[in-house]
Amino acid sequence: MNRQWWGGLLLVSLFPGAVLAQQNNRTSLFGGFKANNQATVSSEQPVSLPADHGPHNGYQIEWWYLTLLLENDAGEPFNYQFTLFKFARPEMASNWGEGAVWMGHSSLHTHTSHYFDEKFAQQGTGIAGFSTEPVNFFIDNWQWQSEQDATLFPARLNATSGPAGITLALTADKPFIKHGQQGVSFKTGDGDYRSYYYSQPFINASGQIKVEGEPHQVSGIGWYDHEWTSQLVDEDALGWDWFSLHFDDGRKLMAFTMYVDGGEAYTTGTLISAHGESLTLGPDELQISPLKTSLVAGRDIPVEWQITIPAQQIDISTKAFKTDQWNDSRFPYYEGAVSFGGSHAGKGYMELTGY
Amino acid sequence: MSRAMRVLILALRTQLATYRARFWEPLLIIVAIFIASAGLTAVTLINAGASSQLKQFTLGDVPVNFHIIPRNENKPLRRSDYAELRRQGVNALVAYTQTGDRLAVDTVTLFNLLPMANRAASQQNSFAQQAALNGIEDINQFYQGDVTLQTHQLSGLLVMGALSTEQYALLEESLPAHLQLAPFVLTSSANNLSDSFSLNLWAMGALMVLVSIFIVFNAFNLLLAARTPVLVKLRQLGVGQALLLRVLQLEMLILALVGAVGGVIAGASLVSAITPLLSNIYRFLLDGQFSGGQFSTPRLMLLAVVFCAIAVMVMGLLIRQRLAHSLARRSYLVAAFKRRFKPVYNVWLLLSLAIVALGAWLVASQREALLYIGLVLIAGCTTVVLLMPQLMSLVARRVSTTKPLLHWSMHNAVSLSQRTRLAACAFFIALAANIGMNVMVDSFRQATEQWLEQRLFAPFYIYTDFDGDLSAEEGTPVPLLARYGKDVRVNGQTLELRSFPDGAEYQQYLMLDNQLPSAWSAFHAQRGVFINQQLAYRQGLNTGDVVSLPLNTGLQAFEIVGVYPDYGNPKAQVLLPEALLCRDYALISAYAAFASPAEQAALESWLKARNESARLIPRETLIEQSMRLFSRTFLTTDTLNLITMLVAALSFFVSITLLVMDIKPQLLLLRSVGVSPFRIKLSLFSQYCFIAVSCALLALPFALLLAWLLVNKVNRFAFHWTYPLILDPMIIMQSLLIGLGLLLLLMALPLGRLQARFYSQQEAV
Repeated sequence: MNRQWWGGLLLVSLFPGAVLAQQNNRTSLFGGFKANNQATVSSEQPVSLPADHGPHNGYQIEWWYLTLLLENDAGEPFNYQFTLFKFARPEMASNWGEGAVWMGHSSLHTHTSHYFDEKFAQQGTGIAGFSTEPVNFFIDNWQWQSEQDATLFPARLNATSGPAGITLALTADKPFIKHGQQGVSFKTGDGDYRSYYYSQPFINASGQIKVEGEPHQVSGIGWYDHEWTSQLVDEDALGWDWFSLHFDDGRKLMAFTMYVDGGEAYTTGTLISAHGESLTLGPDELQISPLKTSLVAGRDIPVEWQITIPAQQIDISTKAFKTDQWNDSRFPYYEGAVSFGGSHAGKGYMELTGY
Repeated sequence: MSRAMRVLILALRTQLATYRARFWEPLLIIVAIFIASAGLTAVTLINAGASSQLKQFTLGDVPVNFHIIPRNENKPLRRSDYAELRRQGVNALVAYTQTGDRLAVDTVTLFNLLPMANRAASQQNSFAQQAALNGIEDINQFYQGDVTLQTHQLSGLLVMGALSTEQYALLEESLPAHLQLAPFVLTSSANNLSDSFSLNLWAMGALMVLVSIFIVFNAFNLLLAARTPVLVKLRQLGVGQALLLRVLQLEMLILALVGAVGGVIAGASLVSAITPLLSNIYRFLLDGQFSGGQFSTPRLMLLAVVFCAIAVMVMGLLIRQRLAHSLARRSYLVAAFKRRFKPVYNVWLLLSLAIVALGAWLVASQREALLYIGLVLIAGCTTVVLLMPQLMSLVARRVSTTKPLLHWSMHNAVSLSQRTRLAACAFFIALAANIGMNVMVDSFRQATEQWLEQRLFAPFYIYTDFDGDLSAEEGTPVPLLARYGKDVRVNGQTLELRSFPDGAEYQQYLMLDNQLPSAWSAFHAQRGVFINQQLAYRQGLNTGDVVSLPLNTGLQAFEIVGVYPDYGNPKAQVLLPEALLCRDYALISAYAAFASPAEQAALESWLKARNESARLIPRETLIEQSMRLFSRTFLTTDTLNLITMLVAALSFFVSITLLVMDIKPQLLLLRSVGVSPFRIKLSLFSQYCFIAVSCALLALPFALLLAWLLVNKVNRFAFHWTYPLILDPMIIMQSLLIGLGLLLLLMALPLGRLQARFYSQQEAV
């Protein structure tokens, strides 16, 4: 028996364990932030735009997520994530502020560096929140301000990430995509876990990123998500593996697997044509499987994945832009750019939580 | 030299020439100004020395050196200012509000600024819980119910982290006009104590100045009375009244300069001399630091000039008022004039006494308590001025006319009491303050002694820096009981957690102010804790309330089952069962050693083998050392008290001298009808005694009220502990007799001088 054979046997024997660990070793990401808000996600009340761009106070958690794949004039990548979270914290309501806390994440990856900033602020104090006419999200000096009254794009984004300053113009030339049933996205097979979820995957971004005093003119593409629910902060919600992919042929794919304690992992997604028509994919139509794990921040993180959609002849393998794209925040998670090849090529973003 | 100048110099020389015959008046003025400026200099320097050594404040291990505060109260700091600054990118700011010892901060934004290690301490905890673990109160807990941003404005914005000069300048530039950047000093716990001590010192200084003003006023009256013949002659020689006024003002300036400069130098020397003592007081009693001996000469001279200017201003006003009267006739209040208004005075008197009686219950802060003490003294002085002659008159009326000398003496005493009202007020203030302080200190001493006797239950105590638990060592020659401790921060305040032995036999050694019926069972079951008065008063806690303590298992809630006195401890403290704290302690403050005297040597050698610096102290020695420290602590106040009393007695002495001059014709008349000089002196002395004793008797109830205020209000709000007021008749009598003794001793001096005058007058006749 040679060493190669032993190595293969070892991989075969370990790998199912690693796959199983995707679920068994997960811990709830937002478990400690559970509140008693129980506004439900109902198919009878689908997502309505532009009314739903703003915050929804009856829900436990809500986020506005922007991921951008940018390059400077020299072709150097600048992958940027900007996210605002809103958590319901009714016990904090006082004469000082309202019962909700905003959290902001700003994460910039270059080939050699990772700049990450996190901010917290209480709603009602004037430090973080949302205003209309024009649409404006803010936390401290981080601001997303649209140039039109009721909609999000075109907009300007000003933020910082450690020593990096980000000033970008964002445009979108295609409609918003509502996932699931008119924006009601199911996270488990029994439908107990769900969220309101819509995206804008056709974003063009350009502007300046100044890193440690050196300005870079950048441009690229991006993806925007807005999601709100009351279930994903449950102790039982163990996390998810999520992808937003930009195909070179202009198509877009959102795909995720959701893990719930005591339940089966649930995989679903939305395939979006280059013109903006969407197709919801069920668990039987879409498979997401880890291919390789790496030790990141003391955890085994699957950094390479296989995604297949047999009906669409899609069979791709994703690879992380960098192995370590760990956001060491209060709720730590993996968020970073990926590239993919196989039946199709392209690039996108991957988010792994609960590890 | 011009004629005017020559006249001025001549007039001044004429005035100064009177010093050869009458040196008491100018000397007393110098002494009074000297004492006032020495007292104020000492107080200023002590407070400056104390505030120069403030500790750096940190929040979640991040230093906080500056804060942003409003420039004035008219335009307060608003939440919108906070938001606007943060939205401009000034993100290292955390809003806070402070009321008393409660420091509440915006923990949500604070969380951004803490090191990552502190942030990730517990993902599962809420912001408020995490804040509590870091010893901070969440601002949301503060602004609840009726407490709003309108009723309690933001105190400021903490600037987190060290600032470079450039950052400081940038931050200052970004501030709106109504806000400013200022050094941040946390006014809680130890700093509060220092502030309280400072405030008490200022109050004492003010008392000394008040008494000094009385003495200056009296001495000046005396001086003018003695100078009147000279002034009249100068007027007759053609010297104008305006020039005489200038001459007197110049003379006062010289006297004030001598007194003020001397006083400032003496005050500085006093502080320099007692610096080691003050260092001990600040270290042991106030948990702070004192740096003495750093006096700036220009600053001291500036002080002298300020004191001098104040003294001259006061005397200048008096000169202007008095000079015209002095040159015309002696001006005293006529008794008949007073009698006409007696009902009005009595209404005033009753009103002020009613204020005194009612006000005590309304006092709710240290500042109010000190102001109230001032009010009590004013009410007391009013009583002395208005009631004392009436009461004395009641006594005098009972003296039969068949004893003419006694009858005259008593009635003359009533008349004299009206003329000596200023001196009587000074004496009243000094005596009331002295008795009040003595009763307070004595009550404190007795309470401390009793507390120490009860609390120290073991025959020996061990103090060591041994890194480990000696009580857990094998082969200890005698049983050892460790006092485990851990200092934590709760609601922005340092809290001492200390263990108390678990056995039921130790229960008798914990003196408790109040306790729940099930206190000890809850304590032993690790559900209940005892808290000291300092914690109870500072945070308004009582038995039955719940306190959350950060232990190694996280925040743990305990019911408060009892409150205990903890004299001399500036910090808030919680007693936990030994079984609980021995698993989670950071220090062992001491060991109780149950050794007999025969076992002492063996225990000492065992200790030396483990730790060279270990000290084994017998219980009695510990009590003696504590009481010695106690006495040294009150040495400062005792000294200031005695000085005040001396000043008051001097004031009285000055008045008596003046009166002796006034009644000289009457005394000569008595002498001419055959009354012997001895009987005249005896009569005069009995009159002074009558006035002094009447004043002292009136001072007594006010003194007891002062003692009650000092114990239950000033002490309560300054140090956050109280003790029972013990009225020991011996202490009260002792204070009374010392005051009266000092006074009567000084009064004997003018009587001695009187004899010489009689003989000289008789010779002249």
